Amino acid sequence: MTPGRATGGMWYTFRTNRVAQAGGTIIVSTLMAILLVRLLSPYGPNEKDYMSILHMPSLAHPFGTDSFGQDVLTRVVYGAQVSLIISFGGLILGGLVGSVIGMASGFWGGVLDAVTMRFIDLLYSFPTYVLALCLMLLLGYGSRSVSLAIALVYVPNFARLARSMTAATRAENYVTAARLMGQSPTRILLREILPNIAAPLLVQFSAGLGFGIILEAGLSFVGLGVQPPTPSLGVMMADGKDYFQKAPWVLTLTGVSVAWIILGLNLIGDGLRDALDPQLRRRLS
Amino acid sequence: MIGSFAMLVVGAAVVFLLLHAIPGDAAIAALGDSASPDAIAAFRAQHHLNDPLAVQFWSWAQAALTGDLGQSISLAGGFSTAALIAGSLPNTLFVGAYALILAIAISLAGGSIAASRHGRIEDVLATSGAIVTISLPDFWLGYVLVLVFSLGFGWFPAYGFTRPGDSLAGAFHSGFLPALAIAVPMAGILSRMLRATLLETFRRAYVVSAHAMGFGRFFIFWHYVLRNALIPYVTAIGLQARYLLGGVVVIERVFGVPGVGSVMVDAAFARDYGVVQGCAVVFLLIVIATNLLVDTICGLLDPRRTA
Amino acid sequence: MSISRRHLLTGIAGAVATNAAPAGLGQYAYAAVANGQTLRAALTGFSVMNTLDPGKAAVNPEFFIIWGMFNTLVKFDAGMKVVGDLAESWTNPDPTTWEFRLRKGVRFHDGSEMTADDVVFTFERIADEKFGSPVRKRMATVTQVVALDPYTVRLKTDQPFAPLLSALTNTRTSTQIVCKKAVLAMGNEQYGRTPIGTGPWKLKEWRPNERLIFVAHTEYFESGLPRCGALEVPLIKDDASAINALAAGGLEFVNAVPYGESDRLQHMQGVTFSSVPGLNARFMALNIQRPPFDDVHFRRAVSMSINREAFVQAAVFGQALPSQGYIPKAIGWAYDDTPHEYAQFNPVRAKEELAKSKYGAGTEAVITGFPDAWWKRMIEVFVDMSNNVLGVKFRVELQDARTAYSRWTQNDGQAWSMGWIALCDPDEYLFDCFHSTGWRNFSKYNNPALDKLLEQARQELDREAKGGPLYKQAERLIADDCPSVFLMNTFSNSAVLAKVKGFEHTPYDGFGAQLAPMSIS
Repeated sequence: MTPGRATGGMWYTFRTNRVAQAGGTIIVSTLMAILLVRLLSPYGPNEKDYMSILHMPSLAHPFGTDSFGQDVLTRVVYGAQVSLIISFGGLILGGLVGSVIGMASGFWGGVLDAVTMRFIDLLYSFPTYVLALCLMLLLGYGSRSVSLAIALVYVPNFARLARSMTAATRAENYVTAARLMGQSPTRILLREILPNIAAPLLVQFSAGLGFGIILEAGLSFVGLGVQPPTPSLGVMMADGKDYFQKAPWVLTLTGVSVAWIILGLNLIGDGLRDALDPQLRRRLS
Repeated sequence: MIGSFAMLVVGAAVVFLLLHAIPGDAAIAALGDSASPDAIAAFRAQHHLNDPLAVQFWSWAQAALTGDLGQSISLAGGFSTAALIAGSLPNTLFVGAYALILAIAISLAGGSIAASRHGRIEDVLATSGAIVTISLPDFWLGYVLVLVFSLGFGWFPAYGFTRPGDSLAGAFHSGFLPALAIAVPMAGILSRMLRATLLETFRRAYVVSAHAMGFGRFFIFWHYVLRNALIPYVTAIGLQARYLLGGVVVIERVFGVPGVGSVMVDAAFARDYGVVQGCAVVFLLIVIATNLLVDTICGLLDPRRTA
Repeated sequence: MSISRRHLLTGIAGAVATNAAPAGLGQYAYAAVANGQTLRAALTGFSVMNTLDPGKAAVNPEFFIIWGMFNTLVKFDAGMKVVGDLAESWTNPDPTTWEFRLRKGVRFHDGSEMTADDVVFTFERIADEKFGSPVRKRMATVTQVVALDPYTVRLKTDQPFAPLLSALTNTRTSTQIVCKKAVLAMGNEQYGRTPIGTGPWKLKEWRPNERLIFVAHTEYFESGLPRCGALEVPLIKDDASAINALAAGGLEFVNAVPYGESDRLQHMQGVTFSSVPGLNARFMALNIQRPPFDDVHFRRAVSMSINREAFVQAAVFGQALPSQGYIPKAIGWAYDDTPHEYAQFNPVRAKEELAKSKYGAGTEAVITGFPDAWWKRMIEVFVDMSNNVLGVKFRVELQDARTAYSRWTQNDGQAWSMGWIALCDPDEYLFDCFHSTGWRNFSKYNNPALDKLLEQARQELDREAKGGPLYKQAERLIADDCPSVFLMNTFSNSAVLAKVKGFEHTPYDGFGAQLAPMSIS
């Protein structure tokens, strides 16, 4: 079983999987909306109109207006961009750091492994929300801090996964062969191990993107996240909750939009998992 | 054992350093906007806030080892941290357990049905439902539930939680909506996990041969399939524990459940370090205990499994 | 008010059981309460509550509760006039001496009688450096407190101090009268958790971060009060949740209605909504030591770029009075309503002032605020308006309230969206904030002519006739310099269920003090 073939077959399975297709459609349509909103929307995301606050959905404002008279649909699209960038950035950072830690720990084992995983377990045991909150208080509010908080929350997930997969892969024949041939550990990690563990990490990544958005929403919900006047999905839900009974559409429609995006991400993640399934089972059993 | 203890100490130290790095201090939180400079100075002196960090941590740690988690200084002055935690932890545990039971009930049913009717309409419905519920932000769901079932039908209170100590029936009644808001996304995750492991177990060699040997379908399901599929399922439940403790803070806020997550968050805002550390230690203890419990249950389910 | 037979019998039984004093001492029929009703009044938006000892209390929620548990020598009526509370009457034998005659037969929650000894003890405690009261410095002007007889107290001040009566009211003044015997018996620490006062509500249980539970003080000196037998105060962090609970009948009273909900509550069945101009000031605090707000022309330009009527509509949905100074309209005798040039919306003049200043359009500045509720709206609307009119590039920075406040006190920043609430005396609004030695003067504003005016006003005991004009003049002096951008004076909004009677809304949000006359029919 050479590393190259695994990815070739996987991509085909993924591409034709119906679930993944559905997810892909959702995400692609969201990205299109984000790219085109600047052209298609007559409103800016921060255009306040104090004469039209909390108007119901109408032809002029398909999602209605918020408490500053800003068009909700426009802000939802811009907000989706902001939230996705924040979540993506945080996940990439957390994923890289966590994977590196996990791979090193799984490869070399021994004391390094024991101590590192203890710290990782500690981080993992800490309540997510409180950890994120303390980080926000420390770093100050704003998009960058939210990304860092998401990264921190996800490091343990990636570390644990990478470690267990690396430890399992290390026992494989081709890895032993490479070590016997005298290849440097870094080369082995990058050339032999990484391609084979990349797929589950990707699944973790796609699942994490959705949760990253929810975490950002939760932090902005209590006012700790993105700074005004920048919209984000969490900021919009926070605004919507303040006026929920007067204008339930703001919170409801924003929540539905969030669910829509996360649904797309989850479907893609599912498709990935389905595509991996044969390979996964063979590797882990 | 030593490892766990070391984890606790390191965890407390990390929290301590993190908190002290945050700007602002307990004096301003406690004294508010009547905080004249000498009132602040007096407060700091009284609570040893000017001592070197190592000294402050050491005196906290020493007391904590003997079980004295100290007092709150800027959140609820004079009340012992233990009292704050003891007053709020049961509420979080109650709502968490309530949510877990609901999630387990829903996911056991949903996951089993979806797996046994694999590929048919029940499966598609259950799976789609599960994916959608995972995608919902739980606090948003909480608000919608309040709108429909509390302000709409009036079946449940819109806010406020009756403690189990005061009235068990009241606790179940007032705790239903928050528990449901937490349970629904969790049920989605668990039912998908259960479905996947069930499907996998169905195809295992020993199950196929049991069928071939003519054992009853229900017997096979119960003894061969479920017991093996439950192991990853139970592990997944254990992983939810850390979310149930601290991740449900926003739900607690929306519904007014005076839980330990809220105490920790408010203490962090008030820079009441002792309380945050006390809560952190308690959290870690609970997570460690939960992991032990999960391992034990998994061991019971499958006698062949080793640590 | 008719008393049912059941109430009468219970009342007599109550009086017999608790009244250990000999007949002839009580001028008051001890309240025939115990009607079995529980009033549920929610405190919203807060979570910190450290002590219920008036001598140590420092934050709003603590005072809100203390106002229901204690009394002071005097209090404000709904028109902000000083009337007697524990004191029946008072005189000034000379400008630095005040003599108060106390009511007889006032009982503490433990049944003991309130006498001049308790008053003296209260003030000595505040003055005690070791005790560490937040108001020690403020009350330092009181040099001597003496009991002339069990019901007469004399205070002496070092100079004539006109605001003294305000400092003795049942507001955020910490001069609530404590029970000497109880404090000495249980110690200060314990007293902060289980206080004994003279007020209508006696603390039964305090569940931190959750709720407080009270029972009626059956021997409260105002006969017939409190009307309900018990009181519960849930601490609700989220304003919107409190409104939900009220609408669903889970509460009887909410003290602070979010401004966005006001119109909905006005039309809601079964709910009575009440709104009065409050005792507060909302403004943009400016750091006059740092660019760009170190230039008076720039400050004036910014002040004139805000249309305060529109601002009030946008930020708090019209629930405020646009203001041009600090002293709120509720303090009528010191309120200056002549229009100040630099507080009127005038884009043309604003641009002229901008041209005169060192900084032009495109100047950047960071305005710090906190993310709670309408504070966030206030700062967003302000930045939006001034950016649009002047072409400057102001930016919003949100921080949690404590961090933002502590940075303001250290003058670490450029501008802050801030406010003062429940300051009840013009001296507090102006002296504390703008006198060169004022402790709330974080930006070190220094105007010698103003200092002289304020010192003079402080000593002018004939406040309404002579002090008022001085304060008005002071406001006009301050307005010329614009050390803050004065914005508005928000309303105090409360909501009760329609079936609740007896609610009288005070401008200073006197939560605990408003609950005694309320009853549920």
